[in-house]
Amino acid sequence: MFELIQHPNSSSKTLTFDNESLNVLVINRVGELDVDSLQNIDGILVQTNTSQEAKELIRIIRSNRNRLHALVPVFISSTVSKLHTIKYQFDGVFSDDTKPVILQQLKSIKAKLREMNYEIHQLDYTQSLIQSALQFSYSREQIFEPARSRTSKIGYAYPFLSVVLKDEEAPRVIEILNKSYEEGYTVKQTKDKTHTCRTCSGGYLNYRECCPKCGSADLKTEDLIHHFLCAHIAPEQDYKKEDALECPKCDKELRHIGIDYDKPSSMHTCNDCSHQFQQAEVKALCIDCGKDNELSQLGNIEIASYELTPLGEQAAKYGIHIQTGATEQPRKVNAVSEQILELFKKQEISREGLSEKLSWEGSVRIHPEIMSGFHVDQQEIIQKEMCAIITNYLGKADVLSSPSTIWYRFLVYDQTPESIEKIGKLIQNNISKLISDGIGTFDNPVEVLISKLTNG
Amino acid sequence: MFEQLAPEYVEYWFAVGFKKFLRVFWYFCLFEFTRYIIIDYIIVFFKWLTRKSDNEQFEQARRAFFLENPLVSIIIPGKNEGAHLFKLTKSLAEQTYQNFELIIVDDGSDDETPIIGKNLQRLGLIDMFIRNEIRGGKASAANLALRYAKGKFIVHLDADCSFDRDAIEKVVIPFYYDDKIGAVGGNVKVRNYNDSLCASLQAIEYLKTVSVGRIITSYLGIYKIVSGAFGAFRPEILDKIGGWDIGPGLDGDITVKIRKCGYKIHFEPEAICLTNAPSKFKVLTKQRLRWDKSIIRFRVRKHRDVYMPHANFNWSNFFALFENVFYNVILDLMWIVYMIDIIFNYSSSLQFIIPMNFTLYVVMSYVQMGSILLFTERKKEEMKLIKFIPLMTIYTGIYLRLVRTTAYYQEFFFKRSYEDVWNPSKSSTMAKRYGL
Ligand SMILES: [Zn+2]
Ligand SMILES: [Zn+2]
Ligand SMILES: [Zn+2]
Repeated sequence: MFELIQHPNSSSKTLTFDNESLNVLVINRVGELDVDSLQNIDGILVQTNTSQEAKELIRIIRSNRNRLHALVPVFISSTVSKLHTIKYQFDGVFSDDTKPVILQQLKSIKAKLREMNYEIHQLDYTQSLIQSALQFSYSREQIFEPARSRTSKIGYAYPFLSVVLKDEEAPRVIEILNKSYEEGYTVKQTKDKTHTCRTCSGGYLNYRECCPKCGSADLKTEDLIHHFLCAHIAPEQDYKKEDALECPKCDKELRHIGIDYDKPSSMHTCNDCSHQFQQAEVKALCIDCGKDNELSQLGNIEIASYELTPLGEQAAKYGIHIQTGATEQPRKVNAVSEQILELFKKQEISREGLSEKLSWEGSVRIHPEIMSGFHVDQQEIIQKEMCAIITNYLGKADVLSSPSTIWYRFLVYDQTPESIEKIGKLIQNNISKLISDGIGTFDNPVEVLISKLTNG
Repeated sequence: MFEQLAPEYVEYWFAVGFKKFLRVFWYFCLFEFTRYIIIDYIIVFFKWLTRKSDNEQFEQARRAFFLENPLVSIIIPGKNEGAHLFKLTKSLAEQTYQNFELIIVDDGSDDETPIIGKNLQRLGLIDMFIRNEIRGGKASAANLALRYAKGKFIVHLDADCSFDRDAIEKVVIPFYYDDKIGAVGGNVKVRNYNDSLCASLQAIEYLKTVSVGRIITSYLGIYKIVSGAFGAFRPEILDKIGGWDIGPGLDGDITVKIRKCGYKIHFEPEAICLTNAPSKFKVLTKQRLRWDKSIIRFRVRKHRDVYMPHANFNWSNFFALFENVFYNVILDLMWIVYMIDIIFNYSSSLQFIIPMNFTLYVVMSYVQMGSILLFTERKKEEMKLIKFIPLMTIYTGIYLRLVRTTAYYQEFFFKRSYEDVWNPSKSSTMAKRYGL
């Protein structure tokens, strides 16, 4: 039914099916893959020794710049070791039993791939990834289902995207899929949720009880014992006398829980700093980067399945048409870019002298530690709030820019020294209040500097 | 001229002469007038004489205290006190002395106290919040705080109190007078004296028995109760005596235990704490029944060894308890004797005796108020209480006496304090079995 063709300049071979209408390239080692040889190939069968190598191969294939080559159906032989860990990255597992099904699949994918338009529009990397993903999903008639994966940074991987992007970029896979959802190409259905490290977005977290003072996880926990008769109460250790429990205050033996004594609570002692406390702080240590996270600081990622919408199918077949500007930096609604602020500043300086009143330049700096405790998403929300507060005290023509989450610059036109001082104080007080109400107490959390606009 | 102004019953007593007056009003003259007027004013006079050296002594102690700047552990045991905690931390933040740790023990509260406490701890307003899931009673809660306190001195507070800005400083300084001072009692006044008649009368009562009464007993070396609302202790002594025992009345009990250990107890009138007194007579009656029962339970029963001659016998401990028991329990019985005496021997002149007795007590109350105003630092506020003084005769002479007699009767014959829900029954059962 099929015959073997030895490739002229490589050790790989091609299988042909259905009277040579389907050509499947068989690859045993990474070195055998020759991109040029992918011309006229309808599918690839990966038959490496290790799953490691198979994974490397599929990554190379799927990241091919030629869209047609990147989307070629790839099957994995059932003989590859540890198959279950990488199975989801392939279009199917090839064995004698599954051969008929796989041939069917091959034909179907081939037909779908032919329907599509591979003309590359002027897309940025993300947009082009979205389009490939849509095309992949469309050609396989496959929903993007999350698969549990030990190697993925967040513990879940998706077909195609998780192959193209590296394991460390798992959070970005979710980002891209969410973008496809926001733009209407997919609908999503939540399957799970996962917490991630605020620093590196890693999902491998070790949750443990820690000392609230020094953060150590080396804790000793003891029950407290209350002796009813004499009202003495102390850790169990204080009562231990050989095998018995004896009250250190009244020397009586404690025989019966509930009658002589009870255990109303327990107490932790930190073996590192000797701090004693009842409420241990639960912290999540990131296995990847080693940073400790407070629970409130963790990122929260939704793990969902994504299914193409009719719009998504359209985009797969005919390409994505980007609407420029619509999605550009939605978070900086209140603020202009720094360049624009500089421009306004220059203009204002040259205008100097025309107005009786003076113009001012101000800057607000937030203590860096305040922000570093937050996940990037939360930082952006706080940045927005800060901008909103500052805007409140600026006039309609005044300009605000936020070069970073901890730095805000603004220009204020035509104010007397007295009123600008008042504005500065108001901004300082309100931002301090925002920080102390919502974040915690810090020494000098906010620094507001205001100076007169001059040539010098 | 005088005959026209004075009422008939007063003229009567002028007419019959002093000897007869003494015979009829022996109870007043012997016990009340001597104790509350003569002794008070003699001591006021002595204190006035030594005021300069007292001041110097205080300043010296204060310097030593601030030089050492010791850690003070403020402990607050209680159940369902969450609502007071935030205000309390604010009140403490105002203190002139700031080197203290704040330990709150939540004794099995069934309201939001644990949430509030944990929050305040996270905000750093409480240094240690210890939650007992199962209620153990006030004594065990205080002992738990003591177990984890690290300070050189322990200050025990009630959560619903507030404090003068220098209260913590003032209550600790007396330890620097003398190493033998084992505990210092703070001055407790009524914050809500304007709330109701009941609260106003208690405000006067507190001024008499706490503010002035304790200056006198402290001066005489027979001061016997460091109030739980505000008192300071040396932790090494508390450890030695095993901390607090089961109440009610544990504050009086622990004071006696410290005295028995050979330490002095000092009252500091200038360390001022304000507390909310019950504003309804019903609540007050319940509170006083509990307090009065504890006099029998602790002063008469548990610590009866103080009255017996033995190796550790100590006259000032004897007098401290004896004065307490005498002025409460014995005089309570004596009053009955007095009534019988008057009814049997002078039934024909009751129309002169009753108004005269009343007059004597009212006059005495005003004279006492004089000594209160000599000592107080809140003259203006406390002047407002003067209008209630005539009612004090009824309040202390009839109402409190009735409550007291009931309490003694219940405790003496039926040991009713062991049934008080103030303690969990597991503790009361044990205490009763061992006669504590
Ligand atoms: Zn620690
Ligand atoms: Zn015991
Ligand atoms: Zn990390």
